[in-house]
Amino acid sequence: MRTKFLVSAGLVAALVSCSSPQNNRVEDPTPTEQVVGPGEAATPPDLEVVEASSVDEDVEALDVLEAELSRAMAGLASEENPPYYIAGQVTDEESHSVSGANGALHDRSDDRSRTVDVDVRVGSPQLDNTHELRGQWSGDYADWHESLAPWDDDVALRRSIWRMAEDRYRKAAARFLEVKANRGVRAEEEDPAADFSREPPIVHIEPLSRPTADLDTWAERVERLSALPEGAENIENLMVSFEETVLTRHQATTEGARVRKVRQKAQLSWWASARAPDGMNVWLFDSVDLYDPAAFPSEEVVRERIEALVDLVLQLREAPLAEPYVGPAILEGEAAGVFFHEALGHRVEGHRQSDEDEGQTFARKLGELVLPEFLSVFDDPRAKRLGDTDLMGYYLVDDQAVRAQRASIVENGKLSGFLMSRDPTRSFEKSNGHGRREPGKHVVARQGNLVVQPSRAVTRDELKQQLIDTAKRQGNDYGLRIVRVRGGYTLTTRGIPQSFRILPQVVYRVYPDGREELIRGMNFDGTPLTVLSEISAAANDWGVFNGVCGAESGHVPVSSVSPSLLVRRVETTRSSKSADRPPVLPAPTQNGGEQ
Amino acid sequence: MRIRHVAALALFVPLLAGASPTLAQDPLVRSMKDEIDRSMNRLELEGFTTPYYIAYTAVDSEDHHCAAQDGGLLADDHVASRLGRVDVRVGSPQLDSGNTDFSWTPASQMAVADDYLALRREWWLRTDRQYKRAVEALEKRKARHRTEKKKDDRPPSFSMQDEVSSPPAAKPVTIDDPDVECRGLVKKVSTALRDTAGVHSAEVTAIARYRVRTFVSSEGGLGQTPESTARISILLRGQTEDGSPVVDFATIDADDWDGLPSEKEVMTRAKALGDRFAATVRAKSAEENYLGPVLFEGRAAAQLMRQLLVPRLIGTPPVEFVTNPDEPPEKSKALRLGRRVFPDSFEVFDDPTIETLEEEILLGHYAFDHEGIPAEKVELVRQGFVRSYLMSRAPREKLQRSNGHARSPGPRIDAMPGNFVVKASGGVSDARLERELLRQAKREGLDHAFVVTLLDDRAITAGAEREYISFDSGQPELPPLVVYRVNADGSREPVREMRVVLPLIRDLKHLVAWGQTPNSDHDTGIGNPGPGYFVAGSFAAPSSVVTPDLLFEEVELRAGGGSGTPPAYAPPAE
Repeated sequence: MRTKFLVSAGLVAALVSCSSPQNNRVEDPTPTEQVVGPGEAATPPDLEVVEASSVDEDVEALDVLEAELSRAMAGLASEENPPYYIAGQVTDEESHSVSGANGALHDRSDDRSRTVDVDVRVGSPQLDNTHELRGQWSGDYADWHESLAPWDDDVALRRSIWRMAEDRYRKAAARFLEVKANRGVRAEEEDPAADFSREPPIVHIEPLSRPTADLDTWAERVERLSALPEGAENIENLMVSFEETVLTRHQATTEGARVRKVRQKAQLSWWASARAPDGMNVWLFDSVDLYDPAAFPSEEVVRERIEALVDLVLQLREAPLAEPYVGPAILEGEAAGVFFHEALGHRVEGHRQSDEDEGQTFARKLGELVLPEFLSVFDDPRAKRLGDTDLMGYYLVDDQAVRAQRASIVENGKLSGFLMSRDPTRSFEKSNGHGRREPGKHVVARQGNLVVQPSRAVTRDELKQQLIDTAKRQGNDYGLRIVRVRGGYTLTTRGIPQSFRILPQVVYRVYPDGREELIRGMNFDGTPLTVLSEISAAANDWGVFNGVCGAESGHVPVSSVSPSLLVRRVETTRSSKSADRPPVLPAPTQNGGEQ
Repeated sequence: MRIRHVAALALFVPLLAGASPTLAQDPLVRSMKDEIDRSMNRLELEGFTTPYYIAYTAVDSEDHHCAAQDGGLLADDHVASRLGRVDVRVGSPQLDSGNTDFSWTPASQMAVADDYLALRREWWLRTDRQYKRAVEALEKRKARHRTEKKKDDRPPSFSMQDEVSSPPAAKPVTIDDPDVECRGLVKKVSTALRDTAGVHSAEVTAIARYRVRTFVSSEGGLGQTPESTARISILLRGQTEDGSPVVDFATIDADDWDGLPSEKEVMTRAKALGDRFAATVRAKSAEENYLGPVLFEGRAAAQLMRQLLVPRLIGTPPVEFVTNPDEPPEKSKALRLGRRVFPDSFEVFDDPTIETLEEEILLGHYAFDHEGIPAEKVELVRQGFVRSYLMSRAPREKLQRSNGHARSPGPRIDAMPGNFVVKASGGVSDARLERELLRQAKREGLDHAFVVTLLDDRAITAGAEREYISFDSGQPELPPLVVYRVNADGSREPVREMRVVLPLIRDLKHLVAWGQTPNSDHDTGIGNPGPGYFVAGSFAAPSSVVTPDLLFEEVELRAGGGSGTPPAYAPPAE
């Protein structure tokens, strides 16, 4: 199944320091360019925020986890460096998927698995084995430690936890010695924060769920939906997939936390590709992501959306190539969400503020203006939907057994906080429930539902007019309207450019007379402080990007919510493309002939 | 040596699920044939040559996989898949686009539904890609040849020979629901073994794979054949009291699920493995290196031949580097024809047409290979001398035709073994072999010798034990899993943490003695990326290697090498 990916590449060692940091303030208007007004008071997003509640139920898997963690604490108590904290996590995943391609069933699978994670901390909350090893690549993020575990036998599960605890403890104890040596020989650290925050243990039990979709019905549906529409002979592939997943995560800690989180979700997605005459492979992806598999739109509605996507791919195939460009652009809601995810979101993750290998773009900017004053940004994992759209970054308790909280990042343009796991920084000692991971990875602070909220907004038409006006003022023949993106990535470590890249797929040139022209093959590159300071207006609409974000702690589902934004100046570059010719022969037809 | 032969057609009959569809009715075959016909007639890039040969292969797989660890289910999968591979050749058989580092024929997932149009579209796009690649490969190859010293003896690129022509077979009969039986069995066996002394993890995996392989080519080749394998593997991992790691395994193989032994028999073999593991845990670790006679006994002898001899009898010529002209040419690893490799009494052959040997099941039987050539028995070594190689359709000097052994999972189609048999007259009984071992040791001034009965197999242990390269000889040091010290009085005791420096091919000429009974090592072709995981659907080809016990005059065993950790903080939960 294809999905939308957002990647943070924050892992490259630093060698070269950049020149002075980019200006972090919204610049005064220059004589040749007036800042356009941000419009009327904006309506807040229609977010449905869920308050945590717990069912009263004995959970056997948690009993097993607790028993084995206690045994480990007792068994290791006599070691020279005993653990002070152990957390266990048992993740059950049940998923069913079918996909059809070009009118035929392509594959079908039913998967079930259970994995075990054990986190062991040696030393003390002030200094433990997770502390940064300065001046060397620690390899921590590459230390994938997931292990499949049996799902139907308690003794077998206990043995899995026992093996994992043993393995994790030995590694933690060895690393703690390295940490002490590293501290002893290195200069004093910039951030004196502790390594682990103290949080109250919670009990949070969500009701169990099982997959409910009828896969036979879905198999027939995806076959029908993947049939190529008439006139789509230049589409090479049309694939439609359905997947339902139930993820049940049990967490227990030696502090006494007991958590069972259950997330049932389903995705219907479609993907179409074609090859342009110049060899570029053009494709688009779309999906409906839901928590209730029964709530999908009707087949007719989905077919219409698929046909619209196919039509757009065919238009893209014929569209002219983008040229390198500097000038104004509208980032429509979904694209604006990805832009904020990359330019701001990853850089306000708590662990990046104290890690001296990181660029620390915002580490010392609390209270300073980092955005125009009409914009605020927060991350609230408790938001389950925006209007009718489910948000995939929703959760109530994070992967360190801390309740998810709304984290204010920017208030009226000023930096107000960070996304925090239990890894403190000099400014924030507590977690706000953003510690997340994919099974087998180390927990770090991650985004959940990142929401960009303007205090004032204009209509979409007004925003377009402002784009035209700005383009004219800057002497451009056109402005850009970026409608759809397939993802993006950002570089956050020192020694490499502190930049991000957004990967637009549907972009229009907007000419002074309002005419629009579809173009293809473009990247939107930028450095965060500069580009964020160039936002000049927001529309009174909302767009949602639901996707999967990959970073140090693996892949986690995220959402970004944003209105459409006008950015006074963006820089775009040409994207890479393959050089393959379109197929020599036309597509075959049912009777053995050709289309 | 008793051998059961199977005619190619007879292989199909017992497995047919029902009446064979006619060629015209089979949407898969029809999609292959129609797209090949169209491509042969019309596929042409202006200014470049058209294909002179196209072949398609489809592999429909149904995999049942279940695994248990310590009595609990770890995996339970039932996966149906279809993979397709397209071979497009441009040029001529004398000089074509194949066998270069730019020519590769990857297998990729296709629609599982028998939908004619959807399948044709997939063949169409794959053929287009492969054709363009082939055109480029040929031009690169020609350019490379122009810069090289003229070679008149360069072998042709491709052998044109009769391909398979057989009626299409229906899908093989699969058991209704092996999963139920599979789940119960793996749980029961792993439960029985988890309390064995020193065991940290008892993993039991069962896999039944049913496939139908379909081949169609522009030369009129048409074949459809069912293939199946089944395996139960039992893997024990643990630790001695001093913290040294211990690993041991056993496998039970058959050519389908119903061919596996009864549950009682499986439990008996599992218990034997548990006893052996417990004995190893109690055993002393090796304290010093050893250089002297070593007997490779049972499966270890066949494992050794798989590593040492099989790669040296593969005749596929080295790949020609055309992407980077500065790349030096690859050297053939094949032993020279006519060279002595064994004592006179040895023969080696590969026979994919046999299903059993001495009542032992063989997994490497098949009707035709991945290039559509009917399987042939090939005599590789006669009276100790190399006579031939395992050949694909890539000719080499003196051997211009395939003998039906093109079977590698790709993307390059190399020759691979099917049922590779090492046979020798003059073998001696087990007791005499052991006496000979001790006699040799005494001659070397040693009061003991070693017997190796099991080497590591990464397909089962997923590389639990690492291989090293010996600093002295450059030879790999293999982690043997089961080694016995044989004392002068004939008593045997297990030894831990000893590694075998892989003997050299020339050591085979000096074998001291060999046994009478054939031992086999099977490769199901099903990879094991780790406990609970498996790779569904592939072109991987099962094979078997059979050999008698082999007594080497001198082999080096090295003590140590285990990565020990402190003993676990507590015993496992009960």
